[in-house]
Amino acid sequence: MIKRLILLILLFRLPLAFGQSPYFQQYFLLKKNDPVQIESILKDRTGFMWFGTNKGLFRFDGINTKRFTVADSLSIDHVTALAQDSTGKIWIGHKNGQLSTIDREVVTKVTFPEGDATQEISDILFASDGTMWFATLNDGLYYFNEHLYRLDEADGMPDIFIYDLEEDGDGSIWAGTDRGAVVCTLKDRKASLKVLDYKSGFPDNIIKKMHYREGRMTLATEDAGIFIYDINAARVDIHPNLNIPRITDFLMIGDSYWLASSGSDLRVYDQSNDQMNIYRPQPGVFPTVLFDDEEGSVWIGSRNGLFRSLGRDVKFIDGSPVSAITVDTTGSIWLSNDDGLFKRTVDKNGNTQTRQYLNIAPYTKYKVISLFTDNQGYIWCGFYGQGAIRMNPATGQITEIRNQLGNGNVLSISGAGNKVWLSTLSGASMIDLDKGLAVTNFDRSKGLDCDYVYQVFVDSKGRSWFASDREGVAMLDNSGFHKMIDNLASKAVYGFAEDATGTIWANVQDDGLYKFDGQQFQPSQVLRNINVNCLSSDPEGNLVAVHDLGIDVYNPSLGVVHHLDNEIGFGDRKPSLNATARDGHGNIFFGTDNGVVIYSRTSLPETKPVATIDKFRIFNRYKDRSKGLSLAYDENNVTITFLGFWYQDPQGVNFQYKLENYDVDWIPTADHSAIFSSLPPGSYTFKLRASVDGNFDNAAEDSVSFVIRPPFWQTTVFYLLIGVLAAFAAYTFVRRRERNLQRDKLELETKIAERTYEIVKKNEEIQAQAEEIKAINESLEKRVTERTFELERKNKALEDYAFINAHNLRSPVASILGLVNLFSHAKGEEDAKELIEHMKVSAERLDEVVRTITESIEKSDQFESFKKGEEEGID
Amino acid sequence: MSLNRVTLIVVVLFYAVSALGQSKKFTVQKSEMSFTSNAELELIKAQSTETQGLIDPTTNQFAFSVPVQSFKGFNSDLQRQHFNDNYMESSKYNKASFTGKIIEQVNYTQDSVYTVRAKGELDIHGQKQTRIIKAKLTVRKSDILIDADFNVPLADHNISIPKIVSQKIATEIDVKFRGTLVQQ
Repeated sequence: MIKRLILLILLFRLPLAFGQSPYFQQYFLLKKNDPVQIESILKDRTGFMWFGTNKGLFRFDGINTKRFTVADSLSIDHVTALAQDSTGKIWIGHKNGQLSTIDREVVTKVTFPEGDATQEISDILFASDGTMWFATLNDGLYYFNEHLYRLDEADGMPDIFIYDLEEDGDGSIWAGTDRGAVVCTLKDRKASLKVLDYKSGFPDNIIKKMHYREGRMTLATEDAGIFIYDINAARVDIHPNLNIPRITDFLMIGDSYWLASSGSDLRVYDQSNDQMNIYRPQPGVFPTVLFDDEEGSVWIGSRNGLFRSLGRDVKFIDGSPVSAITVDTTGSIWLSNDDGLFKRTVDKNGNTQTRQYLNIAPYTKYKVISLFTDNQGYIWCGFYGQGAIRMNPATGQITEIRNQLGNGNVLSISGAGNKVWLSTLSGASMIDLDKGLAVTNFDRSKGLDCDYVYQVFVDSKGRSWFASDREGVAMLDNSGFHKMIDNLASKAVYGFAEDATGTIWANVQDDGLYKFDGQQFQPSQVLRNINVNCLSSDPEGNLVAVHDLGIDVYNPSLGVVHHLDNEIGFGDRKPSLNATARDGHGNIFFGTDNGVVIYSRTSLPETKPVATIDKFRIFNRYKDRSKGLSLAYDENNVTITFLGFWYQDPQGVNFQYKLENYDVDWIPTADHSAIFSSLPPGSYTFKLRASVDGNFDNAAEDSVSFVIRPPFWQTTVFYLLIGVLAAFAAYTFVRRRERNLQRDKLELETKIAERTYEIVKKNEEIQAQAEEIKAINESLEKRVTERTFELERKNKALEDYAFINAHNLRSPVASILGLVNLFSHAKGEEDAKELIEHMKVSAERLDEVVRTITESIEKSDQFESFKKGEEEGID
Repeated sequence: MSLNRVTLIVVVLFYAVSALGQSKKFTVQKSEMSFTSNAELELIKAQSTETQGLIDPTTNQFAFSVPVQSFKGFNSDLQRQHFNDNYMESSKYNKASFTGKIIEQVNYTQDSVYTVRAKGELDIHGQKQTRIIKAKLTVRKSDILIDADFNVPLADHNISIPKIVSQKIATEIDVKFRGTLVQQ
């Protein structure tokens, strides 16, 4: 063993190449080259972030930004103060002293009958009693309670330039001015003022910012930093480490103070370890406004930009690629890269100092590829081919360990208690700190059935685990070496970690983590990536694995993996293989190709994304949910848009939704809307929940209920109406029918009566007629008899006429006929004359006979006619 | 507020105080204002003795202004020309001013040394910033001595530095003011 005492000369200090800082995400509210001056930050109760700027008011949901300007009715674009009242309305204070409000995206200018403020509004506060207070820069303090009141010097204000307002536990309003703090108490709308300043023990009169917590007011001043005022005891406590001048804003988060002061530094003071950290979100950016949200994020506003940082979990020290890392007992980080070995120290005030070590011969030619801090506080450096050294970090004394080793390529150094293990390309070497750094080499001859050893891990049971390149895992316990290779997909194992349950996990090349079941290692794919570069465990026994996608923290008890990637700004860092270390506080350090990543899981309450239903749309029309949603039957194509407020990683939010009375189960989606088409009439409740890790258990839900009314012809009312109408119609029909029947009956009865009457009458008539007929018959018989007699008489007359005709007519006719005949034979005119004379006599005779007959007949007819006329006159 | 208006305020303050017959104001008798740009690659210094200003002892109000083009020094004439033309645009914004009120109470009738904070609007390059600037006030029988050091971030006043010369011009300029004010 060669011992060399070398007092290392610290040749130079590196500039601030290694500033430890959490990730600061930058937001561009306008275009990237259009900087916006952030004046005020507010998170409303829905979850939206609001930014008052010199270029208008901005609303941000993590993904989308909406800007409000004078075009939207803002008084002026320059917004200097924001507050939300109990109704949810956002109040906006302007640079010109005027106020506006915004409610559901509708901006309204506010004017007071008593007059408006004339100077910039610096703060707005809604007190617990509902009174609105607003402070101005050089125009006094205002409060509104039915009327607007103004407080100035005449009312006892020491100054009218007011920076900030804060309410204490008694409901009194504190106003920070250039001449102390003014405590305003309202009684019957009248304010009584009490001034606290130098005379009260204040270290400075210019009070820029205040925060109240549990009976104590913390005040930030212009020149005396931050001090605490115990209200009940009227005592001032000055914290020497918070004596930061020109503070513009500050936050108290847990045990930490976040301080923005003039300059580009953002200071975070951790009371738990009395450590000040100095962060610089970006060169040239001067943080002026701070705001912390429920996620644990800190929003940083400046004159030319907006940033957000979790400020916890993971911090970065950007720089050159780191091949090995360790943390000494003072908390200083030792890291190696191609440029050599460096020690990075941060003092109590947050000032960082980085110094180079081993920059003397022969070490300048060596490459440090492994680092370790033993339990005596010594730093171990493993070289590539030159063995290792053990160095006293305080004195620089070095002990070389080289020739005793089986191999000089020290890939990693680990240990437990007084044993230090070196992993080499020819097995491993154990060095006993209590025995003068005695070296015991383990190789094939000693039963270690592998050459290339990546890591030796000593578990809580004292077993030593060997991760080899080609031979899987070897384990050394009291009974000797045990080889475990059968189940491993790859025979190359990079390292180990032990979880809270005492289970050993192996990091297998290209196949992720394997879990030791007591006999063998079993594959257990619990991480996002199977190519794990660094594996460790935190003080709570969670596995912490780092790969190209970020950091996975696996809780073996719950079986839950917590991913850290975009939200912590991991970026495209590539972790260096097995470049990991833990400090005394449980912080885990990882070397990457871009400096160091520090994981320090805090015990802050677990937060989850806040799922919020944003808008309710029917076709392309938005519906106001505040008035209830009762939709017509044809308003059944519904689109519901929603948000998942998770500013750490808004794109990583996943949703589950369920439309009760429609969907059977929760529906997963990464979209921000759900569409329901042709919903049947009914009552629905849309439920929404969000998660970033796929675990929706205990996730808060948001919901909206709505009703799609059936068409009127499918409503109960309609059915009832139809029933009533049908019943009425039936009733009417029956009634009408009855009435008709009754009427018909009456008519019938009338008719029957009439007919009866008629019949009776007819009968009577018939009877009369019968009698008349009888009489007529009797008359007819008489007349028949008479006519028969007449006929007989006429027949007798005719017979007489015929006789006469035969005897009386024949004679002249015969004479004529004879004379005619003679006339044909007459011979001369004399004969003719004579014949004609005879014919004349015969014709006259004939005429006489005919006349006689005619008279005779006429006499007979006249008699008959007379008789007939007599008979008709009787009728 | 333009520089002309600032000058007007100075004048109005002067005459208003005089007219009222109250305590007379203190005006600058002689002064030196200097600034230093201590950049990585270059140190630039310039001075002006043409600061005008007054303090009203009754109200503690003050107003100071300095012509930008009155600064002399620099490492070269070209540098001075760039200062006036490219950065300060002195033809457009010909004066820098600081107007406001002294926060602490000062007894101007008794010889004493006060450390005060002057709060007001610092107007440089047409961009106003509310600033609190510490100053040492030495009150003597015949005059007042003012001694103030402060810095001016260029970004506050919209003065942009080309990247090509970013290593030669500091982002924050250190300013020193020494002045003697006498009562009128």
